[in-house]
Order: sequence, then structure tokens, then C-alpha cells
Amino acid sequence: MLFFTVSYFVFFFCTITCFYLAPVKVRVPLLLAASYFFYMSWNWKFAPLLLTLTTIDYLAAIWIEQSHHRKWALAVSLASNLGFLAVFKYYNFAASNVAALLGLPHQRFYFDIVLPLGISFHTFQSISYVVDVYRGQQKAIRKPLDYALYIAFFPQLVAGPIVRARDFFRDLYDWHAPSSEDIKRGGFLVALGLAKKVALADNFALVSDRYFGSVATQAGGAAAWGGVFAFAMQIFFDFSGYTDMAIGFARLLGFHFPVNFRQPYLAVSITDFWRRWHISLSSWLRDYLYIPLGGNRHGKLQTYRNLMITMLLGGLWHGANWNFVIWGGYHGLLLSMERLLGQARHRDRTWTFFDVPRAIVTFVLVCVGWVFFRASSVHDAALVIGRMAQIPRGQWPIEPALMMLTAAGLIVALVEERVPLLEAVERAPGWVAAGCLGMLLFVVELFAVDANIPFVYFQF
Amino acid sequence: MPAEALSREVSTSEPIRRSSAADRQALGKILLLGFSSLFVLFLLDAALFRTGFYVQYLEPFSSAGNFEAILAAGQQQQFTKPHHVLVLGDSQVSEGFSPKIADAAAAPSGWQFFNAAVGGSSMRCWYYMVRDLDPDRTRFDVIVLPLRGYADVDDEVIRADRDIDVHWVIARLGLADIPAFVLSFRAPLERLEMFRESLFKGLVYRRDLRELLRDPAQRMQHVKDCRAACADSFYGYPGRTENLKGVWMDWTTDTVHFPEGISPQIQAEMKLHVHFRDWSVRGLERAYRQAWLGRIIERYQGTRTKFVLISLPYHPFPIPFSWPAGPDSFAAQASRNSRVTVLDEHLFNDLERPEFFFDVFHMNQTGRALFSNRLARALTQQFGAGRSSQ
Repeated sequence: MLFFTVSYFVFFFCTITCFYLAPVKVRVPLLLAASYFFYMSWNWKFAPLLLTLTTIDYLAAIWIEQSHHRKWALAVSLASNLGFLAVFKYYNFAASNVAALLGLPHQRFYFDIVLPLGISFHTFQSISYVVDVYRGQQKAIRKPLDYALYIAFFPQLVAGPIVRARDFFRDLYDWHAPSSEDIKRGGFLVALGLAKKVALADNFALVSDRYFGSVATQAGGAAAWGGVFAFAMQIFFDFSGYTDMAIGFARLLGFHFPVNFRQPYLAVSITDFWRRWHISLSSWLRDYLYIPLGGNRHGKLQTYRNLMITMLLGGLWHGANWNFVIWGGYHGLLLSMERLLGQARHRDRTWTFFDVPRAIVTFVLVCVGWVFFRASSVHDAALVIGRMAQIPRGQWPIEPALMMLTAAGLIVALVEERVPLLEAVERAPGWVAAGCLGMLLFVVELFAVDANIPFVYFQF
Repeated sequence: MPAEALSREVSTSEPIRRSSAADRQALGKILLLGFSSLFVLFLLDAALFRTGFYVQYLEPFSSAGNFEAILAAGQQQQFTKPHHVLVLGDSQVSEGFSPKIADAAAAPSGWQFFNAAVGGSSMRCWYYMVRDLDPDRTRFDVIVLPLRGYADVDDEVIRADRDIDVHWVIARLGLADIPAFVLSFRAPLERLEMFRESLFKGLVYRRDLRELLRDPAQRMQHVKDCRAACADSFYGYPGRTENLKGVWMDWTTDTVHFPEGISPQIQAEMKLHVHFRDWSVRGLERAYRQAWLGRIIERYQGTRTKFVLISLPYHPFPIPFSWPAGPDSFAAQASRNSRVTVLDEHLFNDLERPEFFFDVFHMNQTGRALFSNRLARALTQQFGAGRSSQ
């Protein structure tokens, strides 16, 4: 049940109607049942795993709070979460590398393992909860259904954003029916996310899939830049579209998720990029990996080491593949270089047109990173980067209409950098909000691709 | 997000405990926003696709573009003879029937033909063609309805469920047409899809729109060129010259044998369409014919227009299997209507020969000439030189 399908909207309509009309006491079980139904609609076999991890972390948190063996409880929880993740996501990767080291066929130790949907996201969410309880920043949740809902809540279950327990339980335990402003913002985010996904990301996916599907046969710098640019746009519109919808759906149910993307392609440095891109993941990596490693508190060399470890693991989190490791390492290296050059300071001033050159350089560097992210092998990635270094010749592979839509998106992003458009939508009269939503739906209607292309981040 | 909500302390009190009146109000607002945004979408969609603005720039060789071009040619057709015949059909008729040849054959009797057949169209589409070609129900003396035999044989395609029909008739579907159009499909999911597409026409037109946006100037020029040439090209189209001479069918093994020179594509198509033994009469085709041809006939109730049912030359070889056209078949029932004439089912049987076809379904230039001549003569013989009875 993908967010942009009719079946999902029917599901959401039924869920939200039952939710608001149901007696107060049954709403948590109802949302939980809907969430498990949503999850099992992909593959019912994943549900026991989700339930097992939920039970372990629920008990571990209570154990941490009540027992003197807090470290043991934390260790059990971390080992369970990371153990499941390692087995399901990284076993075959490790097995193929061991086989290669031993000179054996790389599938020698393979198991036929299906990656459970959303495991990377709900595992990180569970870890953040248990660690917060351990640190005393979060009380252990006593009601098992409440905790189960936090992990399984359907808007964010399969691809985030990674929601912190304090944010979720703040809303759950002090729930308000959404205000008119919330409803307008939520509805707008759903329509905006839908437009980003089906009108933009999917169209760019056609171009990037065509290019990366047969890199060897598509010579020329223009094709390479076009393919990479298309992927840069695809992954942004796809993932930010998904999270916009997730945030919007949650808000319509009275839950407030944090912003996950903030015009990342306007970033003026790689440091700035990671403050704008997949914010819930980058802040998770900062709080639960980079800072525990020592952050920037132990000198420059330690800081660079911590940055590299964090980004390498961040890369590996995206997928069990050397390409992702290289992608993470590349970003770690760029972040370290920016620190070395004194370019990593937090910017508190507003974006201006004087930032254009730096934004372009940053975008190009990000695009080079995306080559590793998207290419099917390191060899292909090297081939593409080699072509990008050539003088661009040949035909630009992206349709003018799509470029125009992207340009319109860029203008909106530039305006958003100075004027918070979402707040403007919130404050607007209802008919204006409906007009904006209707226009976004019109873009969806006209530019959607006639194929169900899954969200990119579902594979992680 | 209100700022004070963020700073509230986390408590483990009972979750979700607000009054249900406020909740119902929130639900009402959500639904209102949802439905009003859909209404805005409908207005935008209607402004572009229901005003006739977009239709004039449709790709002329697309399904809807071709349908509209033939419809426009029919609407502009100036009849110079006193008696007018409309011939409906799909590509078998558009390839197999020449109004020019038929006009020549029937000229002494004062008959004039218009071929409204559209490649790929179905009986469902023909209804909308007739309706918009002849809104006052006064233009035609005779309407020819072609059938693939008079037994209502069901093959591997269930025509009632052919959802691609919407791509031919999309420009014709008004709001009032939506219920009947949607309900003519059988499966609930298909009905839902047809409802969406006939309400929000952009869902059907979007591929064409994107083609247009690739090079708008070129599309405009192409449309202009086609419009200038289309009426003449429809009327004067001579048909294809290739033929299947030498092709023969071994009916004991259902195998087609080809001589040298037949293209691999035609060979593949012919091999695909030899499974006549699987055909049977299950009632679906009968219901479908009744629904749409019956509706066309019904529409002319109380007018002077008469209908002629013909059995088309369907295949390069006469099919040696026969299915009974029982008394409850559509043709048998229609023949009880005084305004309907059912021509002899075997009238065109001798045209089912490889030398008169250029592929598995379509007659070539020679077959086209013979069929057009014979149909014109059959009609003039049937109805004579005078107007059909009032």
C-alpha cells in the first residue's frame, strides 16, 4: 500500500473516520491495528519481527528504569536491535566479502533473506527510545500498546521520519484534535508530497533509471550529467515527498512530526547540506553516534575520525553495499575538509543570492556523491564520474516540461528560504488552502507517470 | 504547531482523552478540505479539458485525436445526395470500406455514404460517435452496424470490460454520461477507475499533454496540416495494396503456412489469431451488443432512420466452425424491430480470401473495392431510390 495509491487513500479515509468517531479509549488500539494492517499489507511475515523487537525494547526500557543492571538491559536491547538489523540487512554483504577474501564464489555463504520493510527506520527509532530512557531523558512507557504504536505508527513506519519518543508521546499524552491550521498544513503537506513523488520524482526516475540501467552504452558528458541530475532530483523529490506525506498524514491525526528536509539543494556547504537533508537521520547520527564517540570535544584529529566513522556508518545504514560505504566516506571526507578549512560554522544568516556560487559548488559535490549512491557497482560509478569530467556533449535527456517544473520548484524553495510558505498556508482562509491543494492535485493529475514506482527509501 | 505544545512535560496519564465533539468537528474540517480541494481540481480539469480548448490540439493520430478528427469530418460533411448512409465500425471497416467507391456505386439511386469507422474503437465508442454526429437524429437515412457474425460469440476479449475505450471517447463524455458509461463496466475496481478517468479527464489526456509540451509549435503545425488534409484523405483513401496470396491454413492442426515475402510481424499476428476452437457463446457478447447497439437503435426510436446489420468479412480464410445464431441472439432479436434490416450473414463470405486481405483482419485495396461496391448495391437494392419509409 504505497502512499500515493488509491488503496492507501481509501485505507487512510477509513482509518481517520474511525479514529475520530471512535470512543476515546479505543483510539490507540485502533491506530495500532490500522498500523499493523498497513504493515502486513506489504508482507504479513514481517509482523512477528516487528512485534518481537517492540516487546524486547518495551521490557528493556522498564528494566532500565527499575533495575540496578541498567547497562545489561541497554546491552540486551542494543544487541537485539542491531543483531536483527545485522542478520537481515548485512549478513549477505558480510558473507560475500568473506567468501571473496577466501577466494570462494561470492554467493557461497548466502542465505535467501528478505529485508523486512522499514527495519532500518524502526530499529533506529527503538534505539533512540531505549538510549533516552537509559540517559534519563525519557520515562519508560508502561502501556505496551502505547509503545507499540510509537514503533508501528503507520505514517512513519516504513521510511521515517525517525521520530523521537518525547515528540511522539508528547502528542499522544496531550492529544488535541487538530486545529484548522493543523488541518490546512497537514492537507497541504499530503498534496505537496504527492506532487513531489508522482509528478516529479517518478518522471526523473524514468530518466535516471534509463541512464544508470545501461551506463556502459550511454557515452557522453551530457547524458552522464543528465542521468545524475535526474537522480539527484528523483531522490530528493521522492524522499522529501514521502516524508511530507508522512508528516501531513500524522498531523491530520493530531501528531506533530519534525521537519525532515529544508531546501537541501540550496545548501552552501556539505555541513549545511546535512543540516537540511534527512534531518531526522542526521540528528539521530549526531545524538546517538557522533556525540557518544566524542564529537568535536577531543581535538581536531578525533573530530575528523568521529566524522568519518559517523558518515561511514550512515552510508552503511542506507544499504549493505560498498557503494553506500564509499558514499558515506565521501561525505565524511568533505565534512572533515570543511572543518579543516573553517567552512563548517553554523550559518545564522538568511540565504542570499551571493550564496549562489557556493550553493552550485555544493550541489555539484552532492551530485558526485549520488553517483555512488545510485550506480549498481563501483565500476559503473567510476565510469559515470569519468564521463562527468568530460566536456558535456550530446543531447540533454530531460524533457523541457520537467525542467520547467523543477525550475518552479527551485523558485518555491528560494521563496521558502525567506518566507515560511507553510505558515502562510496555515494562516490562509480555507478556500485559499483548498485552492492550493486543488492546484497541487492538478499537477499530480497531469504529470503523474502511469506506473507505480516505489519510494526509493523503502529499500533501506 | 503551537509553541506551548512543544514545551509541555511528558506525562504518562491516559492517552487521547479530548471531547468527541471537537474531534468530530476536526474530522468534518478534514473532509471539507479534502472534498473542496477535489472540487478545485475538478474545476481546473474542466477548464482545460471540458471546454473544447484542449481537444483542438490533440495529436491527430492518437485514439481520441483520430476519433475526434473523424467526428469533425462527419459533422462538416456536406451531403449532396438525398439519401445518407452512416457506416460505423472499427479498423476492419475503416480499411475495408470506401465511401468513395460506395458513392459511385450508389450514385444513380441518390445514396451517399459517410464512413465513421475508427481504428481500435468498439461498439461502446460507436454510440458516442453517432450521438454527436447526429444530435438531432435527422441526418441519416440508414446506419450500418457491422458485426463479426450474427452468433454472439465470445472470444478471449470481454468487450464490456474494455477499459481502454475511454481513450477513444474521452472528449465526448459529459458529466451526464458518467453514470451510464461507468456502469457499463462490470468489475467494481474497473468502475472506480472509469469514474476517476471520466470525471478527471486529465488522467486520460496527460500522456498527450506531455507529448504536446515537448514541442508545442510542432504539434500545432501537425494538427493544422492534418486538419487541412483529413477530410479528403478519409474519403479518398484507396486502401493497402499488399495481400496474403499464397497463405493457407491447415484447419486440422490450426496451423498457418506462409509463402516467401510475408513479413514476420504479419506472420506472428496471424499465428496469434487462429484459436477459433476456444470461442463459445457465453452470453457476454450478446449482452454487450444489446447494451450498445441496442442503445444506438433505441436512440432513433420514432425517427425515419433505419438500421442495417451486416456480417463483415472477418478473416482471410472462412472459419470452418460455426456457432448457432439462436432466436435470442442480438441479430435475431433486432430483426424483429421493423426499423432494422439484417442482411444475409453469408453475403460477404466469398471475400474471406487471402488475396483480399493485407493482414489477419484487414481487407486490402481489392477487398475494399469489392466490399464497398457490394454493400452499396445491397443497400440500394434493399431501400431503393426513394427515402426509407417515415
